[in-house]
Amino acid sequence: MNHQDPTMLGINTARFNLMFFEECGEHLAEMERILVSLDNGEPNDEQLDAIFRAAHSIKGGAGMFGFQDMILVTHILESLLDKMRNNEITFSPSMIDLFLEAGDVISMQLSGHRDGSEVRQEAVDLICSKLQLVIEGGGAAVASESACLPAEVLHGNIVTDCSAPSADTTVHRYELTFAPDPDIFKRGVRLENLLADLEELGMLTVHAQVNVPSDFSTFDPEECITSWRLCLETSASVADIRDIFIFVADADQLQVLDVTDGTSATGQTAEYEETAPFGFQTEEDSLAPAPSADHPGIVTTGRRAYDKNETTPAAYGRRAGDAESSIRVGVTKVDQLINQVGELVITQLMLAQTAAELDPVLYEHLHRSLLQLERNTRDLQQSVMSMRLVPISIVFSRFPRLVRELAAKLGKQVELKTIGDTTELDKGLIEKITDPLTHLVRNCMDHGLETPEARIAAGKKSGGTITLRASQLGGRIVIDVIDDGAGLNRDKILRKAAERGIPASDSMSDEDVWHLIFSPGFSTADAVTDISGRGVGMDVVLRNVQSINGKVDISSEPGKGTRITISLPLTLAILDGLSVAVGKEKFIIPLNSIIESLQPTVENLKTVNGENVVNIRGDYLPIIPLYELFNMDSLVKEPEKGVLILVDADGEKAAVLVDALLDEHQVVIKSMETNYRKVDGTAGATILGDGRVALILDVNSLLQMRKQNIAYS
Amino acid sequence: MDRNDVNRISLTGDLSMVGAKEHYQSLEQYAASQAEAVAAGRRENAPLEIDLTGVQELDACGCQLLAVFLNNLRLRGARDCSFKLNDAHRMKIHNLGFDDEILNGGHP
Amino acid sequence: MQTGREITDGSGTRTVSEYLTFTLGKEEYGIDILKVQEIRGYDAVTHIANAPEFIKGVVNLRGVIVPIVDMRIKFKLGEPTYNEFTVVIIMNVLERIIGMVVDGVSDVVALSPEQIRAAPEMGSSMDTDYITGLGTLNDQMLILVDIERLMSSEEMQVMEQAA
Repeated sequence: MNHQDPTMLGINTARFNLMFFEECGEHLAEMERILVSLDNGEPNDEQLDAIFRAAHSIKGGAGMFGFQDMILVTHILESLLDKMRNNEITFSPSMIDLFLEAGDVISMQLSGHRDGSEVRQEAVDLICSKLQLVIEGGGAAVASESACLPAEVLHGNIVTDCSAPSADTTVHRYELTFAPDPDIFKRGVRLENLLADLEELGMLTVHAQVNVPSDFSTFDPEECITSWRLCLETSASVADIRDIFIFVADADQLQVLDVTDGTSATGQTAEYEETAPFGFQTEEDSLAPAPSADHPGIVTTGRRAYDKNETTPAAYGRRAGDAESSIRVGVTKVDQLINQVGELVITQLMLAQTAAELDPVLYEHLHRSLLQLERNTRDLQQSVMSMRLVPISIVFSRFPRLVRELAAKLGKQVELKTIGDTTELDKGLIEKITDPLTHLVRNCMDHGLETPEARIAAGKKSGGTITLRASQLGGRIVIDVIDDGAGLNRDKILRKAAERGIPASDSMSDEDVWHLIFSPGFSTADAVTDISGRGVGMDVVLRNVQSINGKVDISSEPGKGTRITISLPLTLAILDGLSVAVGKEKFIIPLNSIIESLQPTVENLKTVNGENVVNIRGDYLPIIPLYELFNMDSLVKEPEKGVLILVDADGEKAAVLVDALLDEHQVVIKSMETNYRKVDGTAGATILGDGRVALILDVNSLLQMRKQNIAYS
Repeated sequence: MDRNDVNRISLTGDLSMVGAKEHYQSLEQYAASQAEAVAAGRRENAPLEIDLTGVQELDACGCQLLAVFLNNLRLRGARDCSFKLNDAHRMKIHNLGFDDEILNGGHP
Repeated sequence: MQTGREITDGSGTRTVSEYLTFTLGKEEYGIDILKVQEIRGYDAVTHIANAPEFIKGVVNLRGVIVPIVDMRIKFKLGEPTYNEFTVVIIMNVLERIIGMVVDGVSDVVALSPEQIRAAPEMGSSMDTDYITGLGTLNDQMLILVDIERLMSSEEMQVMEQAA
């Protein structure tokens, strides 16, 4: 095929580029999604077709823009896929990794065209020759021979010598340059621990260099302006070294130079190792890595390397919805807008209230206009509210590949399930929750799930399952990370706590023992398999979650598994709720928690163990009088004179007694904690049409309060 | 921070990320007053001693702050100062690689 | 220790601090003017369950929820009344917005260091921990309050205390 450079035809293709990049990104994401979902099984015709079409579309688009390099790779890929479609080549599981690798390379090329970032030609050449080999060799046999290289390469690890799979025991001298994020102090990262971990690998010398500002009076002490030069003599691999920095530094903040051969710091002849834990490529790429006897291969990097900001709509593979262009707006502007629109709604409601008193016939025109105003205002509010909300799938979508790569690295079989992908939450929360969730998933895979052998020995199936579940409950977003692994080891945790000087005792409840793993300085990792416990620990996860007013809970059963639940407030979310009245105050009960509401008859009311209950179709539900719980005046004290709202709190049912049912609303949840503190029994508050504040009830919390009250009386 | 006599600065408490802002403010005031003194022609000729024995917490953030503060003093012509600190702090400064920036007057 | 906004005049050494003065019961108090955001009437306060009596509840301040405390109840300064003359001082303290009910707001005054002296251990209803000094202006005694320290204290129960 002859591809002519369109610019030579005088066509200005620049403005179509953006669309191509986005679409290409989508095709690549789709390819990856299908490949990962195959779980090393053979694709059916439909799936194969879809992958083929994705590659074909990318090729077509690349052709239009004259991106020859991409055309080359996609063409070979397309040919291979076509042969597979025609059954000329048989499928083999190792092809999945090969295709994923091809996708990564195309992604790298795309990034080169889009951002001008570097494209590593060796990687391109390698994938082309590998694909070619498969085509010529007819499939399975050839692909598996080169399995050694692609497998390692694909997982974004540092390459290992195929003939010497165990660790290289000669001592190397490495020069590390670490230039951390300015907010590393604020993130709570403890560099002493990181350096201590490095020290465990060998002989370490540390030199800090402060980039001193010229004006002391404008210096922000909480920002890090220091970089470190470290010299480490160790027999550990570069991957081990980089692992220590996993959570602390992006790959481009850490430079590792092997200076064993005694070369100068400019690294003229030093071997340049590029490692990419989970797909982040270093940018210092001045040297092309030279294959040597010890390190025969070269690492390619994961597609994620090029998704600089995964939550922006333009980042490929991480889309919330349609392919639309976007503009960046400051979050405070959006908040201000939301508040202002909220005030507008209240004003409109007040107008409506006043107008309701006017004669409808005489003022017909006015009424009609006000109705129109109400519609406009409501639409405006919807649009404005949705600006900040983003589905959690944007976070969840990174995990299939992460789990797959990690599983391979750890030699475990893991299936990932996600539930509740469409649950929406505030964009700000998404950004803050991504790191903790990633750490939890890694932790889960590293420590929670057993090896296939151990699982079979324990009578389980060889593959473990990790479930990520998101749901909205009351005024909160709940995210669970559930595994069916070995569960937490109570004794081990208590022992470690004692070792680390963390106060603990044998008489602590299981819940409290699980919470010990959040203590600073705690880590039950064994050195060999630890990939998630260095430098940064669970205490940072907890701190990050708490910084967004979230909570973390753990439940675990030895041998069965562990569930970690993160619960986050929805400070800027909308809630569908029912407003109720008690005395002079109004409350909102989230519709999600409500089963039904009714006016009980005396016959259905009974007393059991001194507690008032109501009989609902054979079930006896405890009655929770809101006025009692909140110590307030109410018009109604007897259930038969008021209204009972039947609620469901995570399976437990109860009946909340209120004076009256008012209305169904969609309300904006406002934070109480911003200026005050959390009020027991509630999850945020809202502002009603009359401008007054109404508390939003948290059904779970109400039940808890009730139990405690009874216990103390 | 308090200055018992003109030539000693004593730092106490939490010299980590937690107390950084507060300590910064004190140090900044001191530096500013030094600058004022210099501008007014009153120069301190006696050597400066920095007393860290009262410091409880010390981390990289605190070390960084000290380094920046000391550098600022040096820029204003203060001569090299001496340090009073316990072994634990000395170890910490060494482990974090701040020997040169803090204890050795900025010279490697 | 915070002492209000400092103004230096030309000579560079005198500093003057500005305070908003208000009445609680029979006494006059002053707080750093920089911490005052606005002044409102007392209106539409939503009660909060199980909160101490002196926390009247929360209000809606242009879309933001703000707690309201009544210092007259907290420091037992006479009978708190709520009418059209009741004033709420909206303050910005430690990055939180808090409203404080007082009997009346007087004026913004500037005090030079000579007009301020240390507070004695007794004499005022408010714990002297929260008092930065006593000012005198036209024979009137002004109790200068460290509003930040007061509002963040455990006894006010407005802010979550650091663990």
